[in-house]
Amino acid sequence: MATESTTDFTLDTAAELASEEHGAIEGKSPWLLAWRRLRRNYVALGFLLLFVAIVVMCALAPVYASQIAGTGPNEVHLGETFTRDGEQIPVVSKGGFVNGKFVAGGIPVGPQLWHAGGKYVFGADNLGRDVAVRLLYGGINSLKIGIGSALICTIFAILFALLAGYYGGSVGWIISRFFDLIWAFPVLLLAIALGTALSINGFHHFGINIEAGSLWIPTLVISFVLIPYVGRPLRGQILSLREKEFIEAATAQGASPFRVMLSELTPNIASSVLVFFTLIIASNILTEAGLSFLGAGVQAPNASWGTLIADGQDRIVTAPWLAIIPGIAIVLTVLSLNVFGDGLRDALDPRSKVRIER
Amino acid sequence: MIAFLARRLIGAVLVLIAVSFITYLIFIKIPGGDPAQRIAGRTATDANIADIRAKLHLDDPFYAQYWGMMQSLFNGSLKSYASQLNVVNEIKKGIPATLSLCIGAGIIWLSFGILVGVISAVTAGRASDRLITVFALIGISMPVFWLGLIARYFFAQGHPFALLPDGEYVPLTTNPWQWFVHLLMPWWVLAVLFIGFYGRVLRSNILDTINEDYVRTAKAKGLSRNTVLAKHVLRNSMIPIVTLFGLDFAAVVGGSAILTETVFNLHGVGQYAAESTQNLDLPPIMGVTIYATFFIVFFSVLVDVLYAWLDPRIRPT
Amino acid sequence: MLTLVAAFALVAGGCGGGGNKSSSGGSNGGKTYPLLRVSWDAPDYMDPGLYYTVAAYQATNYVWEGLLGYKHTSGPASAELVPYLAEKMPTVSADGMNLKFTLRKNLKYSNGTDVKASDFRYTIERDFKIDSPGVGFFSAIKGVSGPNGFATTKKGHISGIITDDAARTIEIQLDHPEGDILYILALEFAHFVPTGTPASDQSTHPIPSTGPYMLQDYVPNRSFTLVRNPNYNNQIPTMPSGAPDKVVGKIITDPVASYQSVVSGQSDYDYNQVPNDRLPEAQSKYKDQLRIYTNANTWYYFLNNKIPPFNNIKARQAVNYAIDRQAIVSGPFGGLGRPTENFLPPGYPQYKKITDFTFDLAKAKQLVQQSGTAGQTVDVYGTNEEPAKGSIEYLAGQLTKIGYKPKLHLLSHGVYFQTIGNQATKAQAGHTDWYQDYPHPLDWFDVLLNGNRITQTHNNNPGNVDVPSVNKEIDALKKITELTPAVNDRWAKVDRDLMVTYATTVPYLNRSSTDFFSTKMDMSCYTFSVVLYWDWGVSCQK
Repeated sequence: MATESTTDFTLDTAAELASEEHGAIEGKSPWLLAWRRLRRNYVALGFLLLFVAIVVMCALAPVYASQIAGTGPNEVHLGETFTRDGEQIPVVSKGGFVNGKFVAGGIPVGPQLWHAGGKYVFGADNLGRDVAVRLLYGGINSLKIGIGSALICTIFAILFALLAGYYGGSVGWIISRFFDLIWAFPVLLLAIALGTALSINGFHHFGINIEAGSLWIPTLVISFVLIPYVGRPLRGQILSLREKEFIEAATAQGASPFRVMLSELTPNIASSVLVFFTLIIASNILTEAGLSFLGAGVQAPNASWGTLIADGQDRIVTAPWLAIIPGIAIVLTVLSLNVFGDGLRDALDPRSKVRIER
Repeated sequence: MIAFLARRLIGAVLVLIAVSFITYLIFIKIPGGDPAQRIAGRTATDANIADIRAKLHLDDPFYAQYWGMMQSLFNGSLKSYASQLNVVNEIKKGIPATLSLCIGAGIIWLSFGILVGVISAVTAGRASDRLITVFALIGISMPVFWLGLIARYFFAQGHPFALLPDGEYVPLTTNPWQWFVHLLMPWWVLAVLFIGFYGRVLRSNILDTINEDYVRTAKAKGLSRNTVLAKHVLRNSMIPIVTLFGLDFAAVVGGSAILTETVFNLHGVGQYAAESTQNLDLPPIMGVTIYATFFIVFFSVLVDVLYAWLDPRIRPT
Repeated sequence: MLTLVAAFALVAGGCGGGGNKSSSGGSNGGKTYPLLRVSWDAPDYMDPGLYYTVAAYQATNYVWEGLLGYKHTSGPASAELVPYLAEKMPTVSADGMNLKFTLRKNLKYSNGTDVKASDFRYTIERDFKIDSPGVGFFSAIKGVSGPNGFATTKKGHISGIITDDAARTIEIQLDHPEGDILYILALEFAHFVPTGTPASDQSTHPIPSTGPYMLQDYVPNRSFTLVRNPNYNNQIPTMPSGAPDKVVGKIITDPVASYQSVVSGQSDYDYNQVPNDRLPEAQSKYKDQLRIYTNANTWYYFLNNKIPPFNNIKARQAVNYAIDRQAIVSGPFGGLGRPTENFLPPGYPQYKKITDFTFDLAKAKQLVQQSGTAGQTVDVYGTNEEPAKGSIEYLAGQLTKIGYKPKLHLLSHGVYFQTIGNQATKAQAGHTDWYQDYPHPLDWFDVLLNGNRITQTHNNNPGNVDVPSVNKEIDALKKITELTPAVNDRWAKVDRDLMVTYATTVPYLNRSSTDFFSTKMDMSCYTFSVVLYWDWGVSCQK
């Protein structure tokens, strides 16, 4: 600490003092500061690693299917047997009328872990399909939809927010009413309605052709219904930013609206966007699971973690692993995103008020 | 104030109309199923089908059908295509279950959310805060329907407990104890999701408020820590919570409870909505959408009014 | 004189049928008990002119009655028709086109009014006015079909039904002989309603009844209550007068919940099938209260005979070899089924067991190669409810294994049949099933596999099965009223031709179901009728 001085303490003197003691004061960009804070948050980084690990495992699904499990995700093995510790075990228990007596059947085999040489590590489902393989392939779909819809949702939300926030007036009014309308819809109901309706014949209007079983349907449905949830807070931010001096300055310099939106406004909402994006992925994975559980998301024979839980529902007493395991996958994935998103928010602005309203 | 209210109400009505029309379009224009063929059955004759089409005005232009459907909805005569049940009656029958679920869960998540938020804010940075954060995050990371299935498996189906009933709803008037016992699991499953979220929002609000000037002034004046906490900090942190709760509660009553109701077979409005949608049954879908949107819009107006009244700094523009 | 004995092989988990059989079929010695509580599935209607689900039918077969009905007993004899409101079996003209009935004396409805012969004509005409799903059955009656027929005009009266209230006679004239006309007259659509009953759904305003019971009230999706008909006075001696004084039905559509309601003792009978997930538990813990039965139904995959790849017979044969029928029984059906390769259910006298297609994946692949259709996409349709869903996913899986590229379309049950019944859908393969309306092969082949009855929309032959020689044979057999052994053999040949020679369709099982009772019910009275299923009117309690 500098000795007390009776002279005025100006910035120049501070710089002199600092350079005597520590070297010149360097300005550090907020991004660098954020990165440093994040780097120290081991918990957040750990969970980020978990998320990356999950993504990688799912991406390697085809490798697992061919090399370890020896079967595809939609291959049925009803009526077949496999070898465990030298014994031939039916994949799905036999049932029916044997010598006039009834035997209840249809119970799939449970998690074999390493006992069957890589087959049925997490057991089989009611049609004899390998649960572990379906878990990984289903993960691909859940992640694709979660991340894809988050991306689309965020991009459109930014677009709308920029237009509404910058222009205001009638453009802003229309966009706000548009947000209000979607917001007013019971979100899940709208998503279920759209998902179910589109799952029958697909979408073949306005020159766009999407087949009924395509993953684009749940992706677009979820992005669409969540636009206001990201759009509104962003618009609010832009509204307050618009009044700031640097915007006035840019406009006075003759910058076009496009340039102002791109170079001045967008970078300033970037940190909010980043945090929203991470948390929205988490939220979308949950929404997709819910939709698929109700049959309005991913369609058979494709799997997603939500459809796997739905399939397991009917066999919860005799084959509980069918419903339990995919749920654990969802929890781990969503948790890792939530923890990392939290850490990201703390790093970018330790006092930020950024949060996603429901 | 009156002008503000009037404007909001008119807006609300317009939104209801728009929402109902859009829902109608989704199901009329997109997927399949001639309602007449569905009602007539597998062995129907051409004459049957033509007759039913005429009775249901299915050959009228779509806006006339929309208007006709809205009319029968509001005079209570609308019938489902899948099952001949009266839509308004079925919705009315489902309301007690839905309200019981949502109000009960709402009380739990609000009170525990506040408790959790206060504790973690007051002990910010210490072990209890971190632990609560962990549990909160796990809570908001679980799919509610999965949690429900697991809860049923562990607590109601004998693996290892068979303490609680395995789903279904018993009306309060039939048997209050059974009503309570049947709702315990659904309440907690639905609340777990929100407790974590509310706890964290409150925590962050409290931590922000604590640093505000007027709080420092209060402390400087010599007020005890607890008084400061209760009188100034908590009350001001609660305002966003109240508005959030209003909107969330409306959303839950209006339909987010769909998944919980379905998993526990409570036969509330949410489950009716899910089943009707899966069945592509347009009349109930219209009925439930109007009902749900009404709640959301109504609560949204209520919350705006409440907010304006609570916080004198905000004045409706 | 019609003779029909369905040699129905009943197998259950231990019990083969009721105890002593008295003359009217009741096997409980006429004992009564105060209350029967049942957990039931939701009926579609409780109006005999409209209902078409087993849920409605099994609940109300003691409520509204018609000229003829089934013998209340167990085993094959329960498929026999006996006179109910009619005094005796009708006099049928030599050409089979004229039937004369005489009503019993002093018949009354539950509200005290007399039953008149003209009520029969009113009942049938009402069916047309309310767009009953059963109107198609009456198309052979004179004055119904055609541009000026009652079916189109709904004005005036059906000329082919002539009644005389004083003489209590009913004369029915047909346009052409109908082999199954007596069975048709036993259907719910011909159960008498009083003249003047409004021509609209009266489910919640119970129509006065002629049977031992009356419907006291019905709250859709909630409950129904049956009580004794105060004006019955044993007016139909050929049917039991009913054991329970009152039947209270709680409608619980969720099979797990209805199962629990019996386990917990809140209900005495679970109408719904015990879910596959709970079957092992029911079998071990509640074995004595469980009964398993196989009623007359067939689940089959249709293959579209008109468009590639399944317009090629080798491709169709390949599918027949590619499915392991026993595995389908074990898996999606939890064991509740019997594999079959016949279209007709076992137990019909016209059933001759087919065993041509044993599961052989290699042979199936070979046939696909030989047919030249390998690699083609196949649009496979099914519903999204188990067990149909599992069954269709299995088919898709097997189609992949033999060299096709299946595309799965799972639809909601409410729109499924109209979708596959629409030629524009171009469904190449899919799920379908059929439960008998009455025990006669016409109800199967003529409705579902007659190429002459293929339509553009609401087609009941989604496979577009159209073999001219077989069509001709079906139309010829349709005119024959008496089912002699020779005629039965001809029907068996139709079955074989369609399933094997031309391999048009892939039947795979007859589904079994369960009756689950509380400990209050005395299982020694359990009577299973092949047409009425569990005969609750002759049950007893401990």
